[in-house]
Amino acid sequence: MHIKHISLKNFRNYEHEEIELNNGVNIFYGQNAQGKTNIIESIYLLSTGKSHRSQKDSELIRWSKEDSKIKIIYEKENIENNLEMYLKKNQKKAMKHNGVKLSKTGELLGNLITVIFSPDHMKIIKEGPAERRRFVDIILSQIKPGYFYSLSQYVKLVMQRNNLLLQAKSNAKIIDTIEIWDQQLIEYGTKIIKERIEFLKLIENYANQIHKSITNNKENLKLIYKSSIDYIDHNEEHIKEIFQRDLDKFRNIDIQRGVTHKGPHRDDLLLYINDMEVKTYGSQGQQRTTLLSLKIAELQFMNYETDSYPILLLDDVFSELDTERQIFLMKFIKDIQTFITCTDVEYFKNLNLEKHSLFNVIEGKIYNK
Amino acid sequence: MSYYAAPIAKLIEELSKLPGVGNKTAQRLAFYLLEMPINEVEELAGSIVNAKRNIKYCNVCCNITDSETCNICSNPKRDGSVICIVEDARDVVAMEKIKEFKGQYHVLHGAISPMEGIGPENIRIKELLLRIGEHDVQELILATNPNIEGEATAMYISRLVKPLGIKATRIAHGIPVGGDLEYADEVTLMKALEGRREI
Repeated sequence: MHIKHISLKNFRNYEHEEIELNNGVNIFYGQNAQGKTNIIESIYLLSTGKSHRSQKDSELIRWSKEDSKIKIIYEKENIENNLEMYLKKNQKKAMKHNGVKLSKTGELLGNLITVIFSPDHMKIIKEGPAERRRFVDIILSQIKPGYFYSLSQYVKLVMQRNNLLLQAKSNAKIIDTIEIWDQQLIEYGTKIIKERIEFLKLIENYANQIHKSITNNKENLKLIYKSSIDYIDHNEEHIKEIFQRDLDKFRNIDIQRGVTHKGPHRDDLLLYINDMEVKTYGSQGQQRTTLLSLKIAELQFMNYETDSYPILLLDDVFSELDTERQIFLMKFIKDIQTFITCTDVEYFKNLNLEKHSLFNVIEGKIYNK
Repeated sequence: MSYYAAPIAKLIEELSKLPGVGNKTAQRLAFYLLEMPINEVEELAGSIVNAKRNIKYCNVCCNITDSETCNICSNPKRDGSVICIVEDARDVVAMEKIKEFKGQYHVLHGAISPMEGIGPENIRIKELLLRIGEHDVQELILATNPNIEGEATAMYISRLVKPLGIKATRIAHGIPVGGDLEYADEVTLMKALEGRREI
């Protein structure tokens, strides 16, 4: 899969740009605050429906303008497709795939598949469980519509249940209706847990192989799904049974605090190098290598699931890696269309890239070199 | 600050309270109304008041009607032992269009949703239980919407009536008939796959 053309109108600091792209590596360089990341953002937006850095759609529209339009023409299995997004102030965004209107974000996902890697992703390693759940959820939502559906139902169920818990504080009788929410919570929650476990098994295998080859077989990377549910095997009926038991056990605490303590929204993914937790005990270098291994594993997983490599978006990370890891990454991405943003273009000249294009970004204008 | 004369501003404000009507549509409707002959405007206003004043809830099924008992519940040909439970009066119309269902209905006027402060006592479940107590009901067909609130409501009712020995069934979800499989969205198709039957 690769992008052929991007058209931006009143998007961020771009007034109107038409960009022809290379199947190989596309390097956007320039000084800070010129609009390099906005290119990556526009691709990610049409891939997932969300920006990777901003919560509000209105921020994406060029200053003092009313609306914005993004169009991406891409090739998938030798067939040309296009995606369009239309943003208007104070309105819901509109999306089209090959000219056909999409009514939900769920319909957008899975068309243009991307893997994004930015310095912000160190959060996956360093910060709380929410970041790691997000990492898993974004990958699975892109390629499994069923997962995205289960997840969005599950989020609504947790909200309904928590509301009920809050009301139960003043109206004890209402707690009798909790079972009708618990039953659905268990149904969708178990699906989410099962999918995550299966995914982690696959991605662990890829990530460990990569990690070993970066560290010359010195380090072994392990991924463990740590659930808030105390199941002992992965049998679906068993998980459901324990899920129910744990919900019952925690019901009084849930009522006291007005939140649901058990379920996949409280789960975590633990990362270990040679049986030592990376988050707490890993060195800065080990943490970076772990992230690189995870990200490359993500590419391989996407390729395994969809039979083609996704588009790789490297936002400002290339310069953060040391030469050895840069070379490792470049070797890996030779068959993958990649978008790189950076301030300094010198070291790419030494890498002897085969297929590549250089774009100089200056104040919202792009100059193809 | 309003740019319109007070009566027009008031009309626009009232119209924009309606569902699906934004400020622009409200303005368009208001100006359209001003252009209409006075007798037509009076007829429209009268029919709104008339509908509001004379519509009641059926004393059996809680559907909207203009008599004490709606014409489905008072029809002797309808089978009172099978009750189809729906969220909304419009769902009754949709079910009636198939012209196959010979039972009666029960309209809940909503679904359980703690987020909106709607509990079982806020929808017409009490009326349903009274009805079951008074009549010989064999089966409840739970036709609430296929979302989490509709599902929760269906589950709640089925749990209530199970001990009474009444059969509770849930309508199936799946692909629309007459359409091609390829046009069904993924989630619908997944649900259809989950609910597959041996033939």
